[in-house]
Amino acid sequence: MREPALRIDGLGVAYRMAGGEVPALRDVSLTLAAGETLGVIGESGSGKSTLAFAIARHLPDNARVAGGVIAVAGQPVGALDARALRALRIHDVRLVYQNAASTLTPTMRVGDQVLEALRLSADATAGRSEVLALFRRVRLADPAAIYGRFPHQISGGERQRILIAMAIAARPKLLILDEPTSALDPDTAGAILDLVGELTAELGAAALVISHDLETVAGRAGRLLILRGGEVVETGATGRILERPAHAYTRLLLDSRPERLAAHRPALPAGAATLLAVRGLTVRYRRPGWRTWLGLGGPGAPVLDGVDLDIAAGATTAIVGPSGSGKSTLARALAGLVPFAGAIGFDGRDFRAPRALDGTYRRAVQIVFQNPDTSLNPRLRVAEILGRPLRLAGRAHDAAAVAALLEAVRLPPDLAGRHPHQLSGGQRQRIAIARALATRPRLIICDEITSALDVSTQAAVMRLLMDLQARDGTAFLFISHDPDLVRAVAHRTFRMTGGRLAPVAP
Amino acid sequence: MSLAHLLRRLVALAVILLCVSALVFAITQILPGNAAVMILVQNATADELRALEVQLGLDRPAWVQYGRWIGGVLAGDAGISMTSSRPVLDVVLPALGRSLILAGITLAVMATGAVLLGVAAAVRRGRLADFVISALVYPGVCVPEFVVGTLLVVLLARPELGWFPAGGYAPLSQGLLGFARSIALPALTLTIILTSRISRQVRSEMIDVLKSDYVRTATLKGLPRRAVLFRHALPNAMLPTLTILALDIGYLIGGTVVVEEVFAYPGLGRLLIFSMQSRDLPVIQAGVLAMAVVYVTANLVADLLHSAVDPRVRADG
Amino acid sequence: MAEGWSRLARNPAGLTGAVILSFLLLVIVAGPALAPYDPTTFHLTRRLEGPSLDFLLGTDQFGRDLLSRILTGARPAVLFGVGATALAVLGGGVAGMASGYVGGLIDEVAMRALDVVLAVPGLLFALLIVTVLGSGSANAMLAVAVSFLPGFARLARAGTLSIRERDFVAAAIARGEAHGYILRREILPNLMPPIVVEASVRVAHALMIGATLSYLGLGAQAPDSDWGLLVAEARDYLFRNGWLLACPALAIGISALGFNLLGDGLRDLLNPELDA
Repeated sequence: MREPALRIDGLGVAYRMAGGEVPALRDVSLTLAAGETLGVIGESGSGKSTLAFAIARHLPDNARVAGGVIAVAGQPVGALDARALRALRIHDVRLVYQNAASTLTPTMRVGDQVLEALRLSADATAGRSEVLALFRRVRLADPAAIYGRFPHQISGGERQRILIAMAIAARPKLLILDEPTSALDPDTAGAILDLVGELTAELGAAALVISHDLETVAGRAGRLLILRGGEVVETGATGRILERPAHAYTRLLLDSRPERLAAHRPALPAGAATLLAVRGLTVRYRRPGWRTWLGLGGPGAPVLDGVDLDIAAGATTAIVGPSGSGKSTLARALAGLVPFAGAIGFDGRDFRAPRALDGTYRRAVQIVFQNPDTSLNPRLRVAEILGRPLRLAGRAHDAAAVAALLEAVRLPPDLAGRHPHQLSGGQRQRIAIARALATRPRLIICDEITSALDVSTQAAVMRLLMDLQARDGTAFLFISHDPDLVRAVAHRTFRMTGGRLAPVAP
Repeated sequence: MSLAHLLRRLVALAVILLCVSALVFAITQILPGNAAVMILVQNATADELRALEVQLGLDRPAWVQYGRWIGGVLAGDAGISMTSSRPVLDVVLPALGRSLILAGITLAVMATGAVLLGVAAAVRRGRLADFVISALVYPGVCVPEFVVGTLLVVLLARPELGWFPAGGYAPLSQGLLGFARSIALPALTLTIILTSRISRQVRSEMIDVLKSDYVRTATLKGLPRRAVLFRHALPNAMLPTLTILALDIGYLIGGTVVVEEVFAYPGLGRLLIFSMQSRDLPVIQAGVLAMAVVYVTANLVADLLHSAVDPRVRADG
Repeated sequence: MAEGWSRLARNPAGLTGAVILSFLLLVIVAGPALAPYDPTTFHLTRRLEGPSLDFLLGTDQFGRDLLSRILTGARPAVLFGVGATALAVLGGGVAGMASGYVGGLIDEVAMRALDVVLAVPGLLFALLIVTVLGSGSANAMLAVAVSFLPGFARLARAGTLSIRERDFVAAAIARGEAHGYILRREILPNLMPPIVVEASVRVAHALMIGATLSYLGLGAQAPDSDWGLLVAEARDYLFRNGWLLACPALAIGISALGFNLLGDGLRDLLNPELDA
C-alpha cells in the first residue's frame, strides 16, 4: 500500500508562556492521500497555524511537541536531522501562508526570489526563462515585467501567485495553504483557490487548505476537518458535514454563514422617513507638505465625488465596493472626522462643514470602527470607556448605567472593571457598539465592523445589531466588502466605485 | 534617486546650516563679549575700548554683526581668534582635520565591529554567545568617555610599559608608528563606547528582521541558514542600522570633544573647550558651525546611501 | 500594582535595575550620614593611601576619605540626572504633544526649528549653553535639560501623531469631546510609556554628561565631591593610587547601569502586547 502524503497521529503541541504551558493542539490525527484536498476549518485560537508550521517543523522557539507523529510520505518529520529537514522543505512540503506585504524579502527582486527556490529544488542551472515559465503557469500577467519588480511594487493577488509559483517550483508532495486568501477581495480569492486546485491536480500533490471561512473552502475540498481550541471537533466528507453536521460547533459554524442571518432581518418599516439627506458630499485629501500650508498645492483628487444618499430611519443601508473606493471616507465624513464639501441634511437643517456638526447631530449619529483593537483606548477601563459618552449625552453614568449598557450588548456587568486587552475580539467589538449606543443614537455607522472577527462572532454581533434595530428602530449605515453579508442584512444597498455611489438592485 | 531630489536635499541642508549659524551666533551674543575684549586689553582706557568696539563692529545691531560674520564665513574669513590673534579658519580647519582623522578611524573600526557583534548576538539570541556579548557590551553604555579614556591610560599607557603615549598627537608625516601610537587610545576609547551603543541597536534590529515573514519564507524554501542570514536578513537589517549610525555620529562628535580633552589631542574639540574657557567668541562660533556641518553632511550621506540600497525609497525618489 | 511587581520579578534586567536603584536611593537619602568622615576634612599625614581599616577606600592627595566623598557625591549626581531629564520631559513633552495635536503650519514650523537645534550634536550644545550661562552644577543641569529637550519633543510629537490617528480618538472626536479631555484621557496615558522608558535611559545619560561637564571644569567646582570632579582630580595621581580613579568610575557606571537596566525592563513591562 502507498504511504499517504501526510499522516498525523495524536499530535500535541504546547507553548511555554510566562504563566506555564498552554496547549495549542491536542491529540490531532489526520491522513491525506496524494492528490486529495483537505480543508481545515478553525477560528482564531483553534491552533490551525500551529498545525501548518508543525508539519514543516518550523514552530516558534517556545513551542514544544508534546507527543504524536507527523509523517510526510512515510517519513517521520520529527526524526529528521538538519540536512534531511532542509530536503523535506525543498522537495516535499511547501507552505503558502496568509497574504501580507512582508512575506517576500523587500530588498530582493521577486523573480530572483523565485529563481532561488527553483535552483534549490529542481534545476541548479535554471535561469530567468524557467522562472518566466513558472510565472505564466500561475497566470501572472506580464511575467517579464513582474520579474524585475520589488515586493512593494506588486499587488496582493500577484504576491500570492508568486508564493504559489515558489511553492510549485519543486513539484512538492504536499502543499499547505494557511489562510491563503484572507486579505484578498472575493474575486481574487476565488481565482487564487481555483488556480491552486488546478495545479495540485496537475502535480498530483496533496493540499491542506487552512481557513477560518467554511464558505470559500467547502467548494474546493473533498473532506473537511473542523478544529476548535486545538482539538478536532469533526472530520468527514464535505457534503456530509454540510448536510448533516454531527457536532454542535459545526452546526454553529454553518448557522453563522451570512445567508442564515437573513431570516433575522427586521422588516423595512413602511414609509420610513429620511433620517439623513446627503447632497453633493465631496472629500479631497490635501497633499502633505509645505506647499499645501502656503496654499500653493491646489486641490488633491477627490476621494468622494459628489455623493448623494438618503438614509432611511430605522433601516439598514449598506455600501459595498472594493478597497480604496471611498467607503470608509464616507463613513468618516458623516461622523464629522474629515473636512467635506456639500451638505448633510438632518432634522431639517443642512450641515456644510464638520465644525458645524453640533452636539445634537453628534449624539444622533455614532460610528463603530473596523478594528476593536484600535478603537478602544487600551489604557482606560470599560467603565470609563462607556461612562464618558453617557455623561457627555447628559445621561446617568454610574455603575448601574454602565451595567445596563453592557447588558444591552449581552455582556456581563463585571467586565466594567477590565481593560480592553483583557477581553476577546468579539467582546471588544460589543463594547465599541455599547459605546455608540450610549448616546441613544438614531443612526450608527458601521465601518467594516465584523471583518476583524471570527465567523461565529460575526454572526452573533450581526444578530445583536438586528435585534437592536427591531427594538429601538435604530438605523444603520453598514459598510462592508462582503457581498453575502450585505445581502443578508441590508434593506437597501449601494455600490461605491471611484468615490461615486450607485444603487444596487435588490 | 533623481538629481532634482538631490538638489532639494542640498538646498534644505544649506537652509538648516544657515539657521544653525544664526542660532549659534545668537547664543554666543548673550555672552558678555565685551568682557572678552577686556581680557584681551586689560589695561585699556574707556576711550580705547570704545574705539576697539567700533573697530570690531560691536556697537552695531546684532543682525548687522551676524550679516557681516556670516558673509565673512562664506567668503572664507571667520574673523580673528582673540587668544592667538590668528585668522580663525587657520586655527579651526587644521584642528577639524585632525578630529576628522580620529572620527573616521573610529567610525570605520566601530561600524564593522558593532555590526558583527550585533548580528552575532541576534543570531545566537538567548544562547551563551548572546549573553557574553551583551555582558561585554553593556558597560560601554554606562561609563562616560572620560572614564574609559582615563582607565585606558592607566592600563595601557603606564610610563613603565612605554606602549602608548598618555596624550598628544604625532602627525602621519613624522612616521606611521608614532601616528598610530598617538591615535590608538583616543580611537579605542571612542570605539568602545560607540560599539556598545550601536551593537545593541543592531542586535535588536536584526532580531526584528529574523522574526519577519520573509525570513520565514526564505527558511521554509529550504535555503541554507547562511543564505537566509546574509541574502535575506542582513540587507534588511542594515537599512535601519545605517540610520542609527548616522544619528550616532552626533554622539561620536560629542565623544571626540571629551576624548580629545582627555588625551590632549589637538583636534577641534579640544580647541573648542579651550576657546569656551577663554571666551574666544570667533573660534567658538566657527568651531560649532564646523561640527554642525560635519554632522548634517554625515546624515545626508547616510540618507543617500539608504535610498541607494532600499528599493522602497529608491522608487519614490 | 501587585501584578506589576510580579511581572517585574520575571524581568531580570528590570529587577537588577530596581535593586541597584533601591541601593542608590538608600545612599542618596542616608549617604552623608553613612559617611565615616567629613568629605572635606584633610588628613594631611595620610595622603594618597590605599584602602585600610581607617579609610575603607583610601584617601586622596589631601588625605580626604574617598568613601565619604563618594557617598556624599551620590545625591548631587543622581539629582542632576533626574532633574535635567525631568525638565526636558516637561518642556519637550508638552511642546511636542501640543505641536503634534494642533498640527498644520504651527507643527511644521516647530519641527523645522527642532531640525535646526538637532543639527548641533547634543553634548556640544550643552557645552555652548554652559559657556553662556557660566560654570556650575545648576547651569550645567539646565544646559543638559535644554540639549535633551528636542529629543523628547520629537518623541512626544511622533507619539501624539500616531495616537491621534487611532480610532478611539476618532470616536471621541465624533461624539464631540473637548480637546482637553482628548489630550488628557485619550492621548496622554498612551503617550507616557515610551516617554517613561526613554526618560529612564536618559537619566543615566544625563548623569554621565553631568560627570563629564564637571570633569571638563564646567559643572560642579572644587571642593565639591562630584564624581566627575573626583576622576578629574585623580588624573594627576593615576599611577600612584588607582583607587582614586576606580571608585568614582565604578560609582558612575553602576548608577548609570541601574537607570539603563530599569529602562530596558520598563520597555518590556510597559509593552501592551505582552499584557494579554
